[in-house]
Amino acid sequence: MFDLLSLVVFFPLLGVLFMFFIPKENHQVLRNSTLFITVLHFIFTLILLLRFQEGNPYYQFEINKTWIPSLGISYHIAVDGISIFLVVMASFLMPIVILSSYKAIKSRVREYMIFMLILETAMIGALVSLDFILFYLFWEMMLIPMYFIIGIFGGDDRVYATVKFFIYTMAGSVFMLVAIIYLYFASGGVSFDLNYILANFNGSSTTQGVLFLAFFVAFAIKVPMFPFHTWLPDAHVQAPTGGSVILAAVLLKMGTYGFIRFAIPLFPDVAYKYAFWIGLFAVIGIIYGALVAMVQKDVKKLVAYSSVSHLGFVVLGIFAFTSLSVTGAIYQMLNHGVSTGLLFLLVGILYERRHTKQIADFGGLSSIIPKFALFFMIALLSSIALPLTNGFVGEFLILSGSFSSAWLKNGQVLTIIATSGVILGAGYMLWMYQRVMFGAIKHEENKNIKDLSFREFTYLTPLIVLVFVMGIFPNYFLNRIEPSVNHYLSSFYEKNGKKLSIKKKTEQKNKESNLLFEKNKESNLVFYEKNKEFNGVIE
Amino acid sequence: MIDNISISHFLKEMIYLIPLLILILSSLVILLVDVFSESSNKRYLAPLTSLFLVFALGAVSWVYNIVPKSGTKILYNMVYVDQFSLVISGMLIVSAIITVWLSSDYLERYEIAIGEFYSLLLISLTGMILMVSTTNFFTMFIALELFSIPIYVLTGFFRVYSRSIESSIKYFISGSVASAIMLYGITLFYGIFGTVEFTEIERYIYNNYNSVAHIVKVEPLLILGVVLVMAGFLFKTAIIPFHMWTPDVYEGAPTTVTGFMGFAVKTTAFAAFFRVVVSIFNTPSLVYSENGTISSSSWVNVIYVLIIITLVVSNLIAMSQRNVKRMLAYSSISHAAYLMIALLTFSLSKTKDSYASFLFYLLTYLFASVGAFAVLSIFEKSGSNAVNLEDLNGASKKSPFLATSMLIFIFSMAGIPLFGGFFGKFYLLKSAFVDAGLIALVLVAVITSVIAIFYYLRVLVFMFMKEDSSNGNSESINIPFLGKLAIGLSAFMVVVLGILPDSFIQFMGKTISVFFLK
Repeated sequence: MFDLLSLVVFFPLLGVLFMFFIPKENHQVLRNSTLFITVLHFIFTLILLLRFQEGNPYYQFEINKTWIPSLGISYHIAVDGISIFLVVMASFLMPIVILSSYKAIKSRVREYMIFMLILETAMIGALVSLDFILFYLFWEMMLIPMYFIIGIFGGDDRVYATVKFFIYTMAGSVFMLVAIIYLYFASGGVSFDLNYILANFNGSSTTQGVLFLAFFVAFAIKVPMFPFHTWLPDAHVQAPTGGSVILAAVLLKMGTYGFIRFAIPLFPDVAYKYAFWIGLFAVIGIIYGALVAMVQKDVKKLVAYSSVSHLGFVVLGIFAFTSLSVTGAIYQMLNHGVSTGLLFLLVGILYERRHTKQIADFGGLSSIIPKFALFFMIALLSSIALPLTNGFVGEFLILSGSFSSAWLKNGQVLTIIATSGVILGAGYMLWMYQRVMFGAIKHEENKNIKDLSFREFTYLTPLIVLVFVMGIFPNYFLNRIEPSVNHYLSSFYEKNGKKLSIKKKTEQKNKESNLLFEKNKESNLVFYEKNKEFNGVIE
Repeated sequence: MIDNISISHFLKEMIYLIPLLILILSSLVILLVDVFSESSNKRYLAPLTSLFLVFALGAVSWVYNIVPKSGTKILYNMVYVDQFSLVISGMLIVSAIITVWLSSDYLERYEIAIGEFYSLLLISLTGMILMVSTTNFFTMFIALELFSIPIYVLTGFFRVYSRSIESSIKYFISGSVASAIMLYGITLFYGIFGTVEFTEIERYIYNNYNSVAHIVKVEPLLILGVVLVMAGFLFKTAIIPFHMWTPDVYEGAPTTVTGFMGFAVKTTAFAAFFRVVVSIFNTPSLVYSENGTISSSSWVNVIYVLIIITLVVSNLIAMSQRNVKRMLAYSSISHAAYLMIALLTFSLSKTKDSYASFLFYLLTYLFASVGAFAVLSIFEKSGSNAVNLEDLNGASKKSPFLATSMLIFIFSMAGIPLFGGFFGKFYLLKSAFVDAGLIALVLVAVITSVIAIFYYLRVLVFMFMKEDSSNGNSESINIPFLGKLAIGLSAFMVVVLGILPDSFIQFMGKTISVFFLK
């Protein structure tokens, strides 16, 4: 139990025990100690990242112990290139979220902090689990604190939103549980271990189709993919800022992560067979999310719908099955966490000052709060994937990977439509920015809004820095992600071995696109030049 | 047999009855102490009773270690003790201990603190333990009445509230009718076979008939007997459509009694039904048609359909309840359906897993259900023994301890991971799926469990997310020491069962005796 990875998973729970010793009236001590716990946790996670071997495609820090032998359940955890950065991001965002809620959460502080810490353990646990039941436990465990965070600390309609969130997710995951039991049964009834089931599971194509559907729906609700997205805007709008950030940055990624870790490796044939349809729904999500975001009157709802749109890209990348697109999808998961996290934090700051999230209540803020406007601008550019920001790298990899994919039918068409989503994304974001930040000051109250405080500055800066670091030096991340992705894809290709000719074609194309990828920096610059005019418009 | 009688033999047999003897004697002692004690303060009765119960629990575990693996028949085959009956007895005694701890303060609050309460509880417990330790219809029926009648009285213990009395009378009448129906079924068995011993009835059926169709043709009264006995048990286990008494009785009874009843009555009835099913109903000629498939008119199909109806209807009705006790009553009906799934799985597959999952589910249900009613009994506003959802408003502020415990119990009952109920459901459904292939049943159970989450969550919504607006005073609630102990212990056990269930599951699997495996 005293290995590094287990420590990273369970340290927040130890923190919870510690919290019980602090009197609940002592709000500031509670806040500071939670901050301390989460920062310490982040340091542990950083050590994990530093010890992570670059270029090793296999599981690292693997622990495999029996837990409930009578049910075939083991405590099997590990990280690889696919999950390591998601773990780091969950840990990285937590201190930021805690710091951001210093003023927003005024009552029942201890409960809030405890829920956040439990949530952290659950998220990281779900990301590192390699046993189906262990994964399911953590997966459900995420729901409980989130249910309370939205339900206790949320807006006026919080109860409706949180119950909807809980039941929606639960409805998807119970079918996944039945599918898991079936997998256990069909692979000999010995173990729920992922590797064991992967090696021993054989089913007819119909069974595989049904099981894939069960997994797919559970994950698609979490992502959320169109048409399962309706819980998301409600949950986001009602959730407190911290809850929104965690929800968008980490919880939603559990769905896309689940595709890569569980659904596709288990049922590669089915995934390949239905890749086009899933890609189609992803693209519909991109366009639909963008169009709906465009007409929103509420800033937070706009950001929520933009998540639906952005995660469409991720799903498209995953189901294009090329090294480039899947690496891009994982990178984009991180980017979306950073950029959307930033946006939610900034919206939260505005809300704390004006107690409204309506776009119409703002206008002309850039002259009153210039620092805020600058940060908002950077977050927004990251979200619309401007070159030099992180969003560009992810979206570019996804789009170029899925355009050239031999595994995604009509990949070109889908990619072209998806690309138009990028433009729409720029449209709704910039339009929102214009209405909030520029123009005349229509409301007297807005004149007294205060600019960023030191505390706010402190927790926003790391994210802003990350936007550029991830945009300019993506190789640090990609070098660690890519080997695992290639390993994952090679087993996918192998299982679809009949289509060897396609495989060769894909490898060829992968090579070509890798070359393209090497030229990334050059094309970055070219793009930047082209976009200068665009930037001019904004400034 | 008769020449074997000697004092030493008699004493040897009595060893297995020590738990029962302790309970009977202590019920009389409590009654006497209550009558002869001068002081009007009866506070010491609860600790005294629980001390006796702990002795009984110790005796049970002692007998558990010396009882032969194949079980033992004593008192001329009237009583049959095996590890199964002892495990069930242990759980029943634990639920009684928790109930006693809670009741002391509860009864005082309503000024009905009298010794008869504990005495009746002990007599009822004796009947329950006797009922699960027999393979003889005659003893079983006596035991059934022995535990039912004190429960009728306990239900009506609130002499001043009309609802309590109403529920008692309702329970008494409907319960007696059910007993009569079961008795009629038993007399049919006796009329046909001339015996009330399970194993002998089974042998006759096995030797004389070869399929359901054959029985219908030759001895239709046997089918009637099976139906009537089954109806009696379905009433006691509150499977829809025999559930009508449950909500009213649960609502009207004193809340601590409801908690005891919700677990103990159901468990006893299930355990006894389990024995009847395994020995009599499961005879191949009562299940299969001539070509070896399950006959369409077999009792298996009846149970199968009733489980589906129970799961769907109970969860749907529970959604519309405002009274928490009624809601939990419907939720207990849906839990009964789960137990019935385990029972069906075992009778179809005879696997150790399905047997162990039945017992493990009972164990998780014990702490969650008794614990939930315990929390309600403290929240109950004096003046009426109804607990509406609104009464729970702002509970998490008034008492974080109670609210957190309730959260644990509710999540456990809803089957959310990390709490015992999850592994209870998971193990049970896994076994139904893997061992007996009851896929449709598993799917219905899973779908209805999502519906169930809706009403379970609502309790938490009121406890955690709403403020108490009634009078604005958020004074903290006084929890008596024994009550705190009971609730804390239950919550602790629910969490332990949810995180480290392995040893419990293995223990349950080990208790399977020859009776079940033959």
